[in-house]
Amino acid sequence: MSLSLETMTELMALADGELEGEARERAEKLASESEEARRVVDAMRAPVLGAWLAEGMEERTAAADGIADAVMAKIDAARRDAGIAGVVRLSDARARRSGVTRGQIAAVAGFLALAATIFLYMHNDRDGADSVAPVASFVPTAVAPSTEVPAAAPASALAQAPHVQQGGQGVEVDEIDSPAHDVTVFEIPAGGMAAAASGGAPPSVVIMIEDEPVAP
Amino acid sequence: MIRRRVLAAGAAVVLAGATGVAWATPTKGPNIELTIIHATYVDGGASIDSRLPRLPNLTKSEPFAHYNVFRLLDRKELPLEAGKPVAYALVNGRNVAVTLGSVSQGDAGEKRYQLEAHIGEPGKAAYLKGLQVTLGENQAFYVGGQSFQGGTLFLELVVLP
Repeated sequence: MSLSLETMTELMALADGELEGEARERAEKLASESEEARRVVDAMRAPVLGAWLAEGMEERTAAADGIADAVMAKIDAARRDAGIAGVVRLSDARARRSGVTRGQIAAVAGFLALAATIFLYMHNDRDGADSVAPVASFVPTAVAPSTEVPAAAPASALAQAPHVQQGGQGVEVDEIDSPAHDVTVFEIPAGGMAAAASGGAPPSVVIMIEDEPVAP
Repeated sequence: MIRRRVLAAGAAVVLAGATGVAWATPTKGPNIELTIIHATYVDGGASIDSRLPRLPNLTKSEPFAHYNVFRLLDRKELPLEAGKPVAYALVNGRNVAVTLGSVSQGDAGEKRYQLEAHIGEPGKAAYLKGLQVTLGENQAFYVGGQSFQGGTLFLELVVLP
């Protein structure tokens, strides 16, 4: 069979008289041009198959409903006699449950969409920042994050260094006095020190002082 | 006050260097472990001296990331006593002096040591006139930037209980 599932569905809908407008014209054209399509439509319209299907479906529906109703009534009556709350029809419960689930799914989908939007926004924002960031004269590979804090200006006689501290447990730089040299303070966070490997090593500080004095 | 103490430490270093005084030797109590590291960058070859256990965790962070060869030049353990500077002669001719300022308690009751450091050379302007840090036991801080044999010296300072 070369017809696709969608085409088959459309032909069945045509046979049932459910198509209108352009879809109907398209299906009718296909049925007139394709032998296979025409056979499908004819088979669906055949009185034997159609009547048999209709009767069978009605009987099954009626029988199932009858059995279900009888069972539900019996259980309901028994529970009422025992003082238990009424029996809930499975179909009703399913409908209610599926309604709640759809609501939950919608909420989760909405949350995920919002999270994705925020992530994309932040990602794009960061990319933009990177694109304008100054490039170092040479960039070592896989440089872990560290904080560079400009410290004492060369001209100052007694510079107050930035307070570099992490959680009160690390190294605190209180004061740096190196008036003739450029000073840079690097704070190395605990994460950059592979804390696990070093037994929970605390954060550290590196004070880099240029060897050559700056011009007065 | 702090500045005066730092200047006093510097004067002690200069005096010790000039008179050839026998410097401090390890004793019980808080000590300062001073490790001299020579850092260089070599194409195609990276190595870290196995006697530098803290370095492997630091070499991916600035400023260590600029170097790939780290060699231990010397290590000294010197006793700390409040107000008394201990001095050490660096390989580049400068002297480093460290003074224990005070001992306090941290948030968790741990000891916190306030140190003052000075690096200078007799007859020249001080490279590091004064540095004051507060840290706990076995925590390391580094002073780097002194040029030496195509690389840089890093001084690792750790207070040992």
